[in-house]
Amino acid sequence: MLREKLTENKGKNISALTGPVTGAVESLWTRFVGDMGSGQLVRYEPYSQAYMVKASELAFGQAAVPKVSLKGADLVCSLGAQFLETWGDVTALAREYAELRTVDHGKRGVHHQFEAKMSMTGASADKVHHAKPGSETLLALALLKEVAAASSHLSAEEKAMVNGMAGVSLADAATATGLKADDLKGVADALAHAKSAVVLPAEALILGDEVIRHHVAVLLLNKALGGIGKHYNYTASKPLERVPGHKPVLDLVAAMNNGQVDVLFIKDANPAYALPPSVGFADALGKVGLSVAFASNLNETSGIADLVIPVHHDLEAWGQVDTYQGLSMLQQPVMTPRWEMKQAEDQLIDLLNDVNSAAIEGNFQAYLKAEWVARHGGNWRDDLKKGGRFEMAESGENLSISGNLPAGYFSDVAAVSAGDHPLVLVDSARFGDGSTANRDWLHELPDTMTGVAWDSWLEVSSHYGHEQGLHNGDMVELSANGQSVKVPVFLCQTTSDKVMTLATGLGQTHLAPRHNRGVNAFTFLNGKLNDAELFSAGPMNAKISKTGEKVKMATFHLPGRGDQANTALSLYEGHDHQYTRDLHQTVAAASLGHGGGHGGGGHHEEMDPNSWFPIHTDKDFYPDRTDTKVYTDREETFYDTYKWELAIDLNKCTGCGSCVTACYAENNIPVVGKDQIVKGREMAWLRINRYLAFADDGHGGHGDVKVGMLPMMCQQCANAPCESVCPSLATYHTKSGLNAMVYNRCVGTRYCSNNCSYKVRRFNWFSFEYEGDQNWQMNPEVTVRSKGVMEKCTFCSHRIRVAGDLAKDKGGIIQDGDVQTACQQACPSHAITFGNYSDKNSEVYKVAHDERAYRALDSHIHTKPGVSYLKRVVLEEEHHG
Amino acid sequence: MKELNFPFRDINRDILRTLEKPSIGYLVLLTGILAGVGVLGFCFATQVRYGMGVAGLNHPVGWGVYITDFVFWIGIGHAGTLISAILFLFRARWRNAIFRAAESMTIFAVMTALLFPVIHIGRAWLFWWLVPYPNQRELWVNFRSPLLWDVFAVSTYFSVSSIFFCIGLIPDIAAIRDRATGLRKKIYTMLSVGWDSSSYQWRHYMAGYGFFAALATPLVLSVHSVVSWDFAVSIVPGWHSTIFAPYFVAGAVFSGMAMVITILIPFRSIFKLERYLTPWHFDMMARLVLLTSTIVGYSYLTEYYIAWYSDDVFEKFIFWERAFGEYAVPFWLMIFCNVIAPLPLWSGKVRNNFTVLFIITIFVNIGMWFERFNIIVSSLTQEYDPFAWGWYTPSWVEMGITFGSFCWFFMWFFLFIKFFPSLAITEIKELAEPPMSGKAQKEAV
Repeated sequence: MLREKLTENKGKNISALTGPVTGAVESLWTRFVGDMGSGQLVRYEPYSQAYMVKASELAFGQAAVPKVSLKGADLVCSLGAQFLETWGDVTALAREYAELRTVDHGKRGVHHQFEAKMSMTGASADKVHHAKPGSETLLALALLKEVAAASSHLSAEEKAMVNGMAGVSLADAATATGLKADDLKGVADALAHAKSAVVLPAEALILGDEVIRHHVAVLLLNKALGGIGKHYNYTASKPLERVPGHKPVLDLVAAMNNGQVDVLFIKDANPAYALPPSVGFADALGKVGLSVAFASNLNETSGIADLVIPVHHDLEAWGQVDTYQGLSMLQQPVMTPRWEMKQAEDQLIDLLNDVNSAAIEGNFQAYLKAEWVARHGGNWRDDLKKGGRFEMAESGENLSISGNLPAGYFSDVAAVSAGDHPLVLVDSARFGDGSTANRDWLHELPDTMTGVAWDSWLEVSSHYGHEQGLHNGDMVELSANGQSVKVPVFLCQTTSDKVMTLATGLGQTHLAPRHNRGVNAFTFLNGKLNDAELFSAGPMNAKISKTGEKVKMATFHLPGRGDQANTALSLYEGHDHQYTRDLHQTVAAASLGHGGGHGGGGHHEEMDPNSWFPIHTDKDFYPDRTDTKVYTDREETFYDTYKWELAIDLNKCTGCGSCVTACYAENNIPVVGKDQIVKGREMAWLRINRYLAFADDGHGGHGDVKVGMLPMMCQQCANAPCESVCPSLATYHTKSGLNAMVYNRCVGTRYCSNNCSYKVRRFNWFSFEYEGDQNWQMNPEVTVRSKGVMEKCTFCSHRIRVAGDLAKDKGGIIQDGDVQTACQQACPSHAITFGNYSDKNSEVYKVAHDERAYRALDSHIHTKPGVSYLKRVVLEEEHHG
Repeated sequence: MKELNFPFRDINRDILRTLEKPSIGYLVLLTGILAGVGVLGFCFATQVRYGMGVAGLNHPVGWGVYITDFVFWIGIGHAGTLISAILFLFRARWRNAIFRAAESMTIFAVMTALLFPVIHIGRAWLFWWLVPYPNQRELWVNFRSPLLWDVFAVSTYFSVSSIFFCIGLIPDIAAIRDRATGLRKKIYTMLSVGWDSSSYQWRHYMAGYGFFAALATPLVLSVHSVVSWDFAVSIVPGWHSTIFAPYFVAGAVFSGMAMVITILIPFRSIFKLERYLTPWHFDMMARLVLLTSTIVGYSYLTEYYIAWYSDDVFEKFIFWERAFGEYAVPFWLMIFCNVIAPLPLWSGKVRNNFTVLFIITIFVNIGMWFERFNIIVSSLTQEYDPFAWGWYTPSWVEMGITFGSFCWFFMWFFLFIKFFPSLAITEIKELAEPPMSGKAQKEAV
């Protein structure tokens, strides 16, 4: 039928709407629409970086997105970019950020974050400045003025130019942002004095119509700081054609509405979900002669297409992704296709051959190879093995400011005002543009800052929420921009009064019922394109009114009833620091370098009383018997070749949760769903403990809030409380230091979990069934558990077993680095180290003997955990007493 | 002693009257109780079918109402053996009239308690893995686990008290046999194992009885001590305490005696046994309730003192939270029921007022249930890691099983009183004037 229709419409407008395809994929699609008729290929992504292209063109005459890098930086100042979660290349940035935080001679890099709602990125910062949304551009200009004045990186000409444009004083910026001028001055001075500072822009979504000017200001600021070339690399940049803006899709909709599009092919794009409702994509699609969706699952767009052609999932398909110049990646199938069907590009080739007698030989794999070889030369096999070409320039040219900027470019920049409590849309690391909303693992992963899973929520500050008489889970009618949705509120202690936020990515209607949840924040997008030709929102005047309904929210922070306050800690406002109970420890950077630490054995070190989380000075109920001979002797004789240990550097951990999901994937951990999380029955073997500490503001209220993240998994205690209480010997200590768990032997008394001081054991409250294709996600190395048994982390013992077998074949023992745990592998900032503690040369042994090392609760209950934590390093000037 | 005023020859008739054809009221009640046992069966079947998730348990609260029920029923099971064994050795004469009822209650309470280890485990169908015996699976149990000690303590207690109970029944069964006809006669003949009331048999019987009483006595103290170690041996703040063994034993006697009073007050009036169960008996039991109430109250204070004295943050915190936190209501309910409510028992008038006594003992039963609930739940909700705190609310399945466990208990008790004498005929006869004595002859005339 498709072939008939295509033959019928041959030569007419046969268009295609895809995601941001590049390389051979793009060339095939382009050829397809070109050969078939007069249509065109339209590429669309909701979160586009096109603004950066335009801003760069204005500032430096480069129509491209620079590669942003924190390498070598000692100060990063983000005006709102959530660069550890959603902004830019988050994985690379997280890795570089970890380097920035590494202490060297009592010093480490500093991070300032400007944002009204504290994001996970902000939680890592040394200082969060709660700036009013809408003031970002003024802020950038004020900083630019200060920095440029003292800058040695600008030529006299450039300096004069910048001085002429940036006319915003710190005082003006302070008024606009609602911050103290002194604080801003402090930031400006820090920028000026830093050896290598990076300023990152705000999230484009909240900038409204100031996107371009804001980014130009930020680029100039980085220029003045000497970061162009070093931190903003235009040699390795994304060229214009790889970052499609939103104008083409708007034009396409107009053409569709006019009945000009005869056939529309759609793949990997979901405009019916992500475009603003006023654009009317769904209606426009109805006016297309024939709409054809290539899809591996239904979504809002494919769900209303005339014809849906099932195609291979990305895991079964070939592809190519080109991003920065010099970076070209090949995608090859990682599994045999599950069903008898083809990938979309193979369908295109068939259609071209059948309908248009194109005589393309072979399938898309062959096409891809031919294209690749034509572009890169003959070493296809090598490139395939490596995964592509990785020839990015490390640093770029220090470009000069172009003459394209008009003199009065910034003259009429003003703060965007949208009331005292504007609504701001935020990107979400889990769901972002909505394309990942069909994934159970992501729904089950709690949002780091709020702990909420499986839902959308309107985040307001606790203070404002209490003022309005709101409680967690109260359904409110949220209206802004002429749209309104019903959404539960969540009172958050880390958010400032200056804003209400709603994250994008949820609110689907055509997925599996359990994934159709929350509200679609894209509803609030303007139907008009902004200055960067993108759909955006900006701070919105929003109205909330209570509906009287109440829902239970699945929050990990205090489960059991699901509608509790934000965290357990918040129940005791003013005394919060007591409740971290040494689990999460910090240390001042300047106090490092003088030895100390637990020496690998589990000593409790007296902490700097000025750090964020002061320890209690009460006497310990349990004497420290670490050095008692009977204990040390036992350890030496008990363990044979291996004693597996893990070490986590809290200074590097950002709380992103990658390790949590990696653990789900590796260990076949069941997803329990919202109802069970509400009851406190999530199955995560590894969780991110999030603690808050508040500084006194001097008026009996909160000052700054400090956030502590602590990945918590089974500590494999040498004196394990769980082992001795199991009546059926289902859990026991292995000779290699693991606290083993024999599922078959477990009868489910749950005594071990009660007695676990870290609460890391998980009980199978039900048998979680996997139907049909869900079985394909199972790791065959790991048992799938059934109802009534206890389970927990065992340091990926199956991987240790495999490595042991391989080592045995070679006649040796497992070497350091042979085994990586799943969490360690997934950690973007390399915060996790794993290895054999019995090997004095192993990495984990060294880390465990770091002066920052401590073992959680060990000083209190002498459990002798096999996990060392390295204290998070705080700066002296950040101390709160 | 003056209240004990009954002729020897009436004893058999009065007591065996309880075995007569049941009334409509009895049958209606029994039907209701059996329906309640059905609820228990249904709830348990639901839990086995779907998993422990149908209970309200969660992470971090792995034990809740089931273990509360277990400890509660084990506690109830203390009074019987205390009365029959310890008071027997002390020759407390007031025990003779009440010990049979109390002892049967003990057996049935332990039978009820024994349900819970099976009900509360995740894989109930594998509960026999907790019993050590040589098997071809080459699996063994962990003797370090207090739960295993429980298995031994409770099963020992159950077997010894059952044997003790059965031996005590033999002469009485013989008395029934002598009056019974037909099939009943045959059955009771079998059960009375050839008892002919000869002096020879009596001599051995009394020696054996005394021996079993001596054997059962330490068990009264040990079983609840071991049960308390389920908690005390762990390192959960609020559980980890050396006071638990005596504290639990006192609490068990407290709740057990209260339950005996609760049951005997209506029993006495329904079966018109006022002559045998006199205010004097209840006075004695009420004194024991009062004594144990003060011990329990003292233990509560000691726990707080130790928490303060230890200066351990976790310990101090959990005891603060127990009184003023999420579970403050059960806590103050417990204090009221166990410490305040028994205070009127200092007055002799109150001890002799059956209505007030009945109400007070009901309070004690409620209070002791909540004591166990407090210890178990409030300690688990807020342990070391504040991030892992969480609340617990029982589900309908747990409520149903708790309700059903009461029905199960009363089912046995109801059946027992229709088939066996619930007052020990022979021992009551010891209290009466012997039949051939002058006084008895005079009364007969």
